[in-house]
Amino acid sequence: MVISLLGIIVLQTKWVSSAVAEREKEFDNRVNNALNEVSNLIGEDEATVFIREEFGGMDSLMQNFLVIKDEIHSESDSIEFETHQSQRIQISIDNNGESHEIIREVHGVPHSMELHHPSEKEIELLIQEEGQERQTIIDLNEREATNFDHIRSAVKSYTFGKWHSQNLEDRVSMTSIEKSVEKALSKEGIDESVEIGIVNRETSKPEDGYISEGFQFSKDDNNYTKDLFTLNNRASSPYVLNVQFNGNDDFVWSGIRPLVILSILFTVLILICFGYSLYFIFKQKRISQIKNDFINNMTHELKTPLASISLAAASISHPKVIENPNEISRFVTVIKSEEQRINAHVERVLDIAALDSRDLKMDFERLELLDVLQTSISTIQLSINAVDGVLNFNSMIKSASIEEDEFHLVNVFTNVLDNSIKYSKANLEIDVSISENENSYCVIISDNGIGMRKKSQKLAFDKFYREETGNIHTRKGFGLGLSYVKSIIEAHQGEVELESELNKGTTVRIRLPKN
Amino acid sequence: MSLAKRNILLVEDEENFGSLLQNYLQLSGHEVDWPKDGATGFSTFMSGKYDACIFDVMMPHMDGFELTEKIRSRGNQTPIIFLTAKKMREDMIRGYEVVADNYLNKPFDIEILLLKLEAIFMRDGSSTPEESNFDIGQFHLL
Repeated sequence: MVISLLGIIVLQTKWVSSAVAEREKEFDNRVNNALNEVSNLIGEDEATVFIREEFGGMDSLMQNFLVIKDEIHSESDSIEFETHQSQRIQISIDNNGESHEIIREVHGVPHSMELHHPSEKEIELLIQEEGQERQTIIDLNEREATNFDHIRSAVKSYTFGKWHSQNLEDRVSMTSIEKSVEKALSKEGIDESVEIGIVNRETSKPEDGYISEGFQFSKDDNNYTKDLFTLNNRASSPYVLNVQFNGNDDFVWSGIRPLVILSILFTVLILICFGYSLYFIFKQKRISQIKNDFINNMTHELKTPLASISLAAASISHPKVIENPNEISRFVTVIKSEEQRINAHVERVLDIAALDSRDLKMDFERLELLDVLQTSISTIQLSINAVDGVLNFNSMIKSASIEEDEFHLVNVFTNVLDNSIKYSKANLEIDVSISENENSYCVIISDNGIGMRKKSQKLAFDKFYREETGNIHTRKGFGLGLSYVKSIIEAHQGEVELESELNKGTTVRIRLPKN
Repeated sequence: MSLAKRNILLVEDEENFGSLLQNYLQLSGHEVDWPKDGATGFSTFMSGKYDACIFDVMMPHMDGFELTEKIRSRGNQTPIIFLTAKKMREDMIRGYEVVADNYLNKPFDIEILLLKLEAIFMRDGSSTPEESNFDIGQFHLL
């Protein structure tokens, strides 16, 4: 089970790591997509400006081409289109498909525009600036001529070429870049805070006025770059767009957080179940051990007196004994003693069983608690004397009359005192005192015996509990005494508690309510 | 033929039972030393010479199994009989694992114990009994 649990945890960890890695990779991809989008947007903006300034806008340019296309198929041999300066540009095409050059001026810079029609299906628009070589800015077949994006793309390529040597501030503003970056990232679902900087590749320095407040020029994993202006996927300027994130946790975890939380929850649940199973197994093992110990004790405590009785009977029958009345009397005494011992053990076990099933009949009557205590002390005095012990009794009250079952209460105090003798060492001293407060009488029985471990204190009142000693049988018992004490005191609506220190001694406090 | 007198070490913590068993073994003609716990039993064993030992298992300070292990670890092969209320299979196995010769459960028939002792004594050729009563007619067997 441990292996399965470890396996589950390892797999969960691997899955989470893998998921996080995937999300980080996706984050990188989305950022790069966004930066590509930004680059395209900025290029598109420049193209838009050029088309607006050169041709009066895209629609106008499109219309011109449409006109051109239509006219090609007609029998007319002249094509006209207008610029926003309202200059009419006339291009004549003869039946051989040759073109004519037209000179026009725009913004004071002479432009020549040549419409070339190499075949019915092909259209070329060539533009030439003064001092520059002729370059083809539109090279389309008939179908493409009606395609907006292709025309824009072709014009964009031309504008990059035209403007690549211009200063950054003449081409695009920081505000525009920031808006484009924000828009592109948002489109990709990335909301992390970002710092932007434009770095000049040639000088390796950020461009003044083109760095956000928190931007730090360094190379690390959270720095993404993209050439700001590209032409045919190659950098057409030294300006590099740098984007930095202060972490990507929100994006990485947003997609997998619920699953991770559930996964952790279920793993914890399995751990709890596993822990409980272990606890239950150990508890059962302890119960089984206690049961076995009890059976062993019970067996020993009952079989030994039976063996004594058997031996005594065999002894009486021995030829050397049968004629000797004194010896017979001795053996009969032993038989009676052992019989009483067996009976006492059986009664104790039956009492505990009756307490368990709440069948024990208690006989309450109003009696003097001091007398009950004295009876217990008298019962145990011989045993104390046998070990050269001392018992000190101190009563701080003159009378303590309560409703009590005398028989069981005597047993209770006798049990506790008996334990003090049983678990004593040399120079046994037992202190018994009785006092009262407003609501109850308190009997304290304290000794200087061997004491018990902390763990044993917690379990002392548990039925059948005895400290494990294996076959070392120094002190006899079933582990029922204190359990019996607790049950009887509780039946009297009282409380009992135990304090002990190993090698120092034990104190038992019994509170009985005044009633 | 009567039983030869033997020295027996009885280690038993129960006062009444120990007294009765010692008494019966003595009535049967044996000398019996009776320490009342495992630790005292070991020191008594080491300071004496015994033809057989009878040990209880559950005793103060040192149980019967540990006592037997200590004796056997010194290479001593004195016959040992466990006399115990512990009847569970694991206990019996443990008893034979520590190389006891016999394992009897309480309560038991005393005559069986005496016969077991006798069988042990007859098998044991290493110790010489103090008396020998092998007399048949006019012949005395050595």
